[in-house]
Amino acid sequence: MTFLHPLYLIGLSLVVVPIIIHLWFQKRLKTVRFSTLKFLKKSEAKRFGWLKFREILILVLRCLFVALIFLSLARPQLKSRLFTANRLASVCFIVDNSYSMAYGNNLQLAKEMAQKVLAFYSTNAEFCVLPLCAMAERGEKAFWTTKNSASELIKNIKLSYQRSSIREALVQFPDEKPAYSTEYLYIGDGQEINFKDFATEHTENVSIYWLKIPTGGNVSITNVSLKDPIALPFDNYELHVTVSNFSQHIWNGIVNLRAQDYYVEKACEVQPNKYINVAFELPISIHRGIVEVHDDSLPIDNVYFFSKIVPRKLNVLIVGSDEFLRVGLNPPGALRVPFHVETVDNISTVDLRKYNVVLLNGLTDISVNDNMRLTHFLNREVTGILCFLGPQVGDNLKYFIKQCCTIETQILPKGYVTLDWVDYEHPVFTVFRGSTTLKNIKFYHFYNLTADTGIIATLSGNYPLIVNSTNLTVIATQFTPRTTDIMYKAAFVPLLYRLISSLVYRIHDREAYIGMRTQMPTRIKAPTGEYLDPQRMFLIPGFYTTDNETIGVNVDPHEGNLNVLGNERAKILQIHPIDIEKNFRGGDVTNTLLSLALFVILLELLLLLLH
Amino acid sequence: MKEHKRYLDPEVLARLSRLDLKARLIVEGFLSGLHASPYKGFSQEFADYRQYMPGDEPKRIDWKVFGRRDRLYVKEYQEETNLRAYLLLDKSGSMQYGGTLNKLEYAKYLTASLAYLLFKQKDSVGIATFDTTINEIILPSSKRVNFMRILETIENSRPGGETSLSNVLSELAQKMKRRGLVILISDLFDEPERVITSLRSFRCRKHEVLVFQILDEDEYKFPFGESALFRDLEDDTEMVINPKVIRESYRKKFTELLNYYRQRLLESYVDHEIIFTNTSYDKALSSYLQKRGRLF
Repeated sequence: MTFLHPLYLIGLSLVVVPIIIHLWFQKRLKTVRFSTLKFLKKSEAKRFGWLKFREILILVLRCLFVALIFLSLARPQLKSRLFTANRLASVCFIVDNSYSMAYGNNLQLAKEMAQKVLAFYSTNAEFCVLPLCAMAERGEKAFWTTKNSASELIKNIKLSYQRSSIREALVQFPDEKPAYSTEYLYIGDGQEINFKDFATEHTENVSIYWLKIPTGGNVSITNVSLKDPIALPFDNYELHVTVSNFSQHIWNGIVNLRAQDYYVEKACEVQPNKYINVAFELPISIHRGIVEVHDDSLPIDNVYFFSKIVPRKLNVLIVGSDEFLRVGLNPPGALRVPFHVETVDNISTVDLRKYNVVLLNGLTDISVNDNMRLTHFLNREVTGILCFLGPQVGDNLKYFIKQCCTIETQILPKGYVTLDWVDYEHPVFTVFRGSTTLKNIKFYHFYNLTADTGIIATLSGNYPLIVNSTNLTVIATQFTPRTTDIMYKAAFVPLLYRLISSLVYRIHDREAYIGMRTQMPTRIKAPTGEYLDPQRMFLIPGFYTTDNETIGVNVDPHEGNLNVLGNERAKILQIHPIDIEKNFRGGDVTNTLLSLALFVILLELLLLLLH
Repeated sequence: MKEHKRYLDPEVLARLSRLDLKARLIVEGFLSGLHASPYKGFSQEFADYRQYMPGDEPKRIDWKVFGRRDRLYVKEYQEETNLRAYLLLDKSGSMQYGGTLNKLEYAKYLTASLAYLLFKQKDSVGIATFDTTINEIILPSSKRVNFMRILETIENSRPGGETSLSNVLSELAQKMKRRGLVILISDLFDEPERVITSLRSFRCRKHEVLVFQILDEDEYKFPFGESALFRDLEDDTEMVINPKVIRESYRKKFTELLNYYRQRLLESYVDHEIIFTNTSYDKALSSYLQKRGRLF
């Protein structure tokens, strides 16, 4: 224990005053010579015992009161495990100013803690202050400074919407060699995201201490997504809002969605540490808006600006045989179909700019020119090519397909093979999860494709059936009765729809997070009305607009999830957590002692009243 | 008469120095208040004649008077008995408690008065003084020399140590071979049960027992005010006491003690008289005479 004003400890010698007064009063007492105290002692033994005890207790309490008062005046400080007075070191403060610190007054608390820690160090120590989410450009380096300057720097730290990590923050560590042994102090809520890409190699030969700022409950919108991002809607589409409750209490509240003149709200209940998906059905004309949850202590993640890309009617060109594909994509008699389908035998004469999707169905080969045209076609937005391999595949076609996979030998199995595996996580197959629709489809004739990635379905014998690369998809066979019976199965049409749609709609939303840098060449207007220069990052949440699209910018939902780094993980990373409750709040025991002194006085009064 | 009476007041008496004088004044002051002689009974000293009544013993008829008067008269004699009285004076430390006249002084005067009264009556009177042990003992005798020794013993009695009443009484009971009247003058500040047992041992030896329990009024009323350091007169133990706090409880306990003595001594056929030091001596002497009257 240390004392801020140790001179007051001299006053402890005054503890003898009550004893002296007690003895003096004893001496001043009139002596009465009484015949015998025998009967008094006997009859009042208990009472005299109590009175004697009370007298001693009162004396002790009085001494204790004097001692407590002078101890309080001396301002005792419990000795911290880590921090001792006048510590000499080169100290690097990493103060968490990410937006999760907006919870309660956590940032203020972190700054106060930093100031308290600072007070422990000697004035000769040197300091550098690194906000976790830098306010300056990352390229700028921090510098070693004095105690007073460090205090000012800590005071000036402001909440940031940017996403960052300790690793990124340490990039700013001063180049200048530290004068003393370096101590790293991270002061923050210790969300796991802050330790992203942080490995033990960063803590070699250094000690990182983590001063824990307690986190509390939080409810946030962690995601807003299309229910089925590649489903082609006719009138309405469904939006899923994920509301996560990171607190320890059940949350009951309202989730509302605002978009143009459209407003809808839904009441919901979220259990502790759970999340729910709240579904909103929206007209396809509305693709951006704001979703909000109401009443939570960390408001910044209660608002979500969404801007979605909703699938719309596509122009499809079938090159080659259109048997079954045309019927599948545009069934006769259907009133509303999501595709406008045209068929040609030769691609050379077609203006590809009119189409979103080209289906190369069983082509033996393409010309070099077509190869270039198709490659150019793929570079356009909202385009894709679906290639069904026919009986023969020419070199140009093989070359074109090579950006996706390599075509090996043709496989003619004895009998047939069936679908062996499909990637149900891929948007094409999500709707088939849990169903038997894709079972027992027979394949008699297909190519052995070789690909490292992008395989989303395989046949028995581990032969890739569908290989997907960006907006080019290769199917190992044609959908004809000679090669497969898939076109007679219920899965045929939906699978075809989803294969085409997944080619085109690879990006489902135009959303970004604070701290991201835009690469868009066009001018972007911020919610404040100012234009962002290219390469500039998004700094505040809201809608940012370009000439033809809207970008919804939000704070990173990971920031609000309050997933604190566990002690085990901290141990692995060689980060030493320090509980501020134990090390600082309980440090000054003056108030405790004063409360105790008050209690002592009350106890004495009570004893005096008791006979 | 009035002059004699005032010597029954303890405070007046305290101013006198000679004990024999004090005793005489007390007794004579007391006796002057009585209408009839208290000494009637069997004695060799003639008192009066009275007419013979059937039932009187014929040997008591005075035949000379019959010869002169031709009527039967019987003689009555002034009492003269062979009563052996033992005065037991407690001079333990607790007996020195009191103001101008402490309990021991009062007890000494009372003892001397009783001795004088007994001496005057031609009874054999002895004395024993004691505190923790027996200090002095004078065997009963009706001689004047003995009486003077008794007075001297009383006069020389100084307050002693702790009361060990029960032990002393048991010892005295052993020493008193011939039965008689035992008069105990003490504050009885000892274990009540043991005191009672000891007094019963006198009764078992056919002694008549009269107990004068000498108390100071303060011991009963406990009138002390502020907190004070109380020092035990017997063993010098000290205790800080706030009398206000314990007064009620003390008085209750003390009354219980007195009641206990009264009750248990009554059951044991022991006469018990509580005498406060501010009360007149005639109360004690009356008690004695009543007791004697019952005996003969």
